[in-house]
Amino acid sequence: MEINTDKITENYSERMSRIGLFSFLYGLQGKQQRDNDGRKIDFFGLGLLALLFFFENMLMRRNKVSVMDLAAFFSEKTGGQYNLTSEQYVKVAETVISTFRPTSGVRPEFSYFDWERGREETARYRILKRSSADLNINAQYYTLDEDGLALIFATKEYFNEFQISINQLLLRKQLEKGEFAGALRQIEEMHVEVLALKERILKIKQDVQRNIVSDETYNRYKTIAGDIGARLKRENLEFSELMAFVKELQARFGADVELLNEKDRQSYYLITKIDVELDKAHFEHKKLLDESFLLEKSALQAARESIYFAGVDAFNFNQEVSNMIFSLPIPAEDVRTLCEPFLGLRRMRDFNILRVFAEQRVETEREVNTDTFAEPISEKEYIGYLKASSIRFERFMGFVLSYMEGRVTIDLGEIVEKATVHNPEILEGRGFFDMFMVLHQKSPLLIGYDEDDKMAALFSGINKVLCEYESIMVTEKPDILEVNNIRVQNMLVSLRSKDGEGR
Amino acid sequence: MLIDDELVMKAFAIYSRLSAAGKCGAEDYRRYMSDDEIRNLIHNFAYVQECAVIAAGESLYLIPFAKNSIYHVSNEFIKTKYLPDKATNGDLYLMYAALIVLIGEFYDSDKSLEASRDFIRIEEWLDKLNDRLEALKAIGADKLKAYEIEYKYNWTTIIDKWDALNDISEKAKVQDARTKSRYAFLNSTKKFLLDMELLYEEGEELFLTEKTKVIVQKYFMEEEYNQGILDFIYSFKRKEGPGDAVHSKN
Repeated sequence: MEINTDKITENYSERMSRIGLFSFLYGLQGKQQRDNDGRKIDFFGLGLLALLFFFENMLMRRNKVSVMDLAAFFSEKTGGQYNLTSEQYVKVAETVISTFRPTSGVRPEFSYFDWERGREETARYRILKRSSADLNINAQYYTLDEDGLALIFATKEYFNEFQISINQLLLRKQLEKGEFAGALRQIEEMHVEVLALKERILKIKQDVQRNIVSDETYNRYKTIAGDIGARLKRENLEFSELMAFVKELQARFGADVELLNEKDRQSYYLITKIDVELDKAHFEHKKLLDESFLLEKSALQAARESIYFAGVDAFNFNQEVSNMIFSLPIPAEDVRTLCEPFLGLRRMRDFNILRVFAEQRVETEREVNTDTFAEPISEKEYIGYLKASSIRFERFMGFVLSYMEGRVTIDLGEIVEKATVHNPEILEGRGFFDMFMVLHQKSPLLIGYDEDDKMAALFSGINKVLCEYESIMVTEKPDILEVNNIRVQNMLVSLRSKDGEGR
Repeated sequence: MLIDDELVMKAFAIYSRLSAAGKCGAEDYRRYMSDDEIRNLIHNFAYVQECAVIAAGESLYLIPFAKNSIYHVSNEFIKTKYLPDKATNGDLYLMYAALIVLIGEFYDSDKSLEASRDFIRIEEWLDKLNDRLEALKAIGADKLKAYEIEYKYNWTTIIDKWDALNDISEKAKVQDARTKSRYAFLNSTKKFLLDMELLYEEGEELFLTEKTKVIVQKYFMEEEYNQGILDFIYSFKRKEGPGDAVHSKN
């Protein structure tokens, strides 16, 4: 039977991403630093220790872990093996942290060749992040981000995705065996995982709002949201069962705590704590279930919104909104009330970052103020100036051609009219009219045939646009046009095509 | 299709709050997300005023689009409040260039719309801006002038303004791109972006807000909106210098 090679490389990038997680530890391994006795420092191990340290702090709900804390931990754990001062330990801690969270802000990366998609890919990770419980500006606090957690869980036997379910399994086992201390720890790990899942869902939600641009992405998100929902439902059921089980265990100890011996009393207190903690975790988990429903819904909405945006150009306010409002059975006075507020709307002042791309008034040579006498410019500079004008003329002539709509004549008045509607920006400044003056001077102008270098430079743009024509003629008309405070003679533009048509 | 007037009024109430503050609260956000008709109405209102409504994080934002929108902060306002006395439009254009580069540093992957970094420090922003402007300068004044006209963008002025911020320090053995004036300029730009809720900072690290990320991912990369300027500014390799990291989108 044939092997389907495509199936082999399915989801290749996901697997590579998981492998890439470990690359940072191996990167640390490469560090050649030695302690004061010349002994090579095991940075690889320190990397793993650091992650475990952060993880333990997370379990203990301590989110404010600083470089100094990590350094102190290193010192305690490795002080017996290494000869390093506390300052040196701090440097070591900084090195480790900056591997997981580069100070530049660029996320740690792992590059590979994706044999499924057939191209280079770069996976980016979020291993450590700045802790949000941060009030002190002078010290930086860190905590594990989602990939850091994934790395921790990946060093256990099972996969991250089923963490909660597996925690639940283990919990049940431990409860049955009476290993209550272990059970409590299991719940704490579950709690961390629930929080991580919550953040992941939030991130997906944000991504969804930003990213839905195609059917494909929409379906992907819908699938993810659906999967999360299904899993959460199952886990929720399991939680309920576990709760019932714990209650049962509690009941077994009987009503009177006083009568228990020391060991049993300890167990009883542990069970009570387990009950409380499990309840908390279950509650958080239930909230997640609600979130996952919202996630599915917001995926749908975001998709619709993006489709809406795609169609917004075709929207006719008059037809769709005005008519609608006026066809409502509301009295005339209310309509007025409805419209009046539009005029006096309080307005915020905002800066749309897209403004950075807005067209700017470019200072041409003419507009620049000089306090010196005009110096004759060199030939080279002059040709440069002509070339710049040529680009402008090319653009203007392009518009003129479009306004002509296939005809061979048009007058300046009509051109200005059309430009005011379609491309008003070309009428700002004199450049547009200068073109006509030059053309009038040189009229009739043979396309593609230039007397000298200067003419070639100046008309190269126009020659390009009018390449299908033989010549262009610009003649005066009797009337005067007034445009933007410029008064100019009206002109007639005539094109003669190559096979002799046109006047 | 008839829509009842109470819905119209509710939508309008939300829109007027959006209009006044530029963003809305949780209650309005929830209503917008859950009610199709209200959402449509709000979009219609925004369309009339040449704005777009985007959802980012747990809030809505009103984003002005038209060139002369009544919702824009004026150039005068920006110059007066954030730039030194006697600032000209050229200084403003330099600010814009700095913002383009800032965003370019967060989204430097051709293959995905996801941000490639989480934050940037101001020193690195300065270095990257300098790289981009040096690369532009290197293509020569004539070509640059032609590009100015083509893109309708004052490249020469921007470069001149940046050069002018080059305090010569007598103590420095090697002329560093990071001069005090340039730091000051970027700090002013940073303050502006913080006030407009386009950035937030934690310690020395600058992060993009959700609002910015949504606008970037929805519009920034589209040529229709960026007029090819984004690609242009990144298309030139810098001349090799000490400790260079060449960033090229080509």
